[in-house]
Amino acid sequence: MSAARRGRSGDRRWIAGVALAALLSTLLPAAAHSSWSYSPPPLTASLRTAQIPTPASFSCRPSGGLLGIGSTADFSWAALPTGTAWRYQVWIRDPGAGTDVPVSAAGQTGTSISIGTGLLTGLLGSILDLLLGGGQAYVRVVAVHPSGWTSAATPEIPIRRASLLGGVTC
Amino acid sequence: MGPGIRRGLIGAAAGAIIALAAASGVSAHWHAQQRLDLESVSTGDLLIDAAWRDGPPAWSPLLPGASTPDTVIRVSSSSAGTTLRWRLRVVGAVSAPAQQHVTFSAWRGVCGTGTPIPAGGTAALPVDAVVDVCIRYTLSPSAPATLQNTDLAPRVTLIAEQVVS
Repeated sequence: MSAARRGRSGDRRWIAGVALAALLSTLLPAAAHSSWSYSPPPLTASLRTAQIPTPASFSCRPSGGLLGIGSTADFSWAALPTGTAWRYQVWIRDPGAGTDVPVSAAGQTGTSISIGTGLLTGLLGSILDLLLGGGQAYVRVVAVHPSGWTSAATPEIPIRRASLLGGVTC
Repeated sequence: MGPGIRRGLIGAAAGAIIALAAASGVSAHWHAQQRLDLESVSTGDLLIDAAWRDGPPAWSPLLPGASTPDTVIRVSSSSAGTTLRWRLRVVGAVSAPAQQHVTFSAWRGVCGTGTPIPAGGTAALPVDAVVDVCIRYTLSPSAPATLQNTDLAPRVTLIAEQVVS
């Protein structure tokens, strides 16, 4: 073996040695910091997310109007627990036309609403046409949490024309 | 025996004496000795116990943006070790569907005003420490409605870690 080859071989061994030392030096601090740990069994409890309650006591009472003129279907329901800015959204559905519309997109804070021809003329013309034609529409309410979570709907209550002269009743 | 060999032996003997002196400590002094009867010696121990301080909580269902009431876990160390120091880590988990929408917070002491316990754990604690940990789960205000009426299955894991420094 020439002197030059012996020199290169020695260099390689030296480099390998340095690399091994470097590797060991990275392992040593980890070993020095190893420590014990202990964990008892986890603690558990019962917790669920809420379910927005459906407004209770949803009901309708026909109101006023001579010969049906100007009569209204007055709906009411029980308020949800205080402390939350609940809103209530009233929906009217026309099954024949497949129409299902909220009386107000934003909903309302109150727990009652009177549905008459005036309201329907202003907001839901097609529903009014349905009622004037002798058909029925269906009213329901959902509660809306400020987060947007909504409850299941109340049972539907039908509304119809109060008389040939107009008006709405239930 | 020639003089050269003699000198070599003397040199070796002197070297051995110096080596022994070095090995036994060059600063060694004469001193009186006292016999000590060795008592039992054992390794240390790292043990904690954790329990709801006021009994298992009865939490109401969470609406978006709401938190559980402040609830305290008492952690008691029954460790052994004269030089042992340890830190406490607290990990709160919930069921998978809600993980992204529920935050867990823990304080040493009172919720909100106590010392928050970071993910890396508390500062070093003494061997016999008793720590009250106040915890809260909070449901995000933007949690999706699909999470309604979901079992969160909360699980609080307390981990004692030896502090090595």
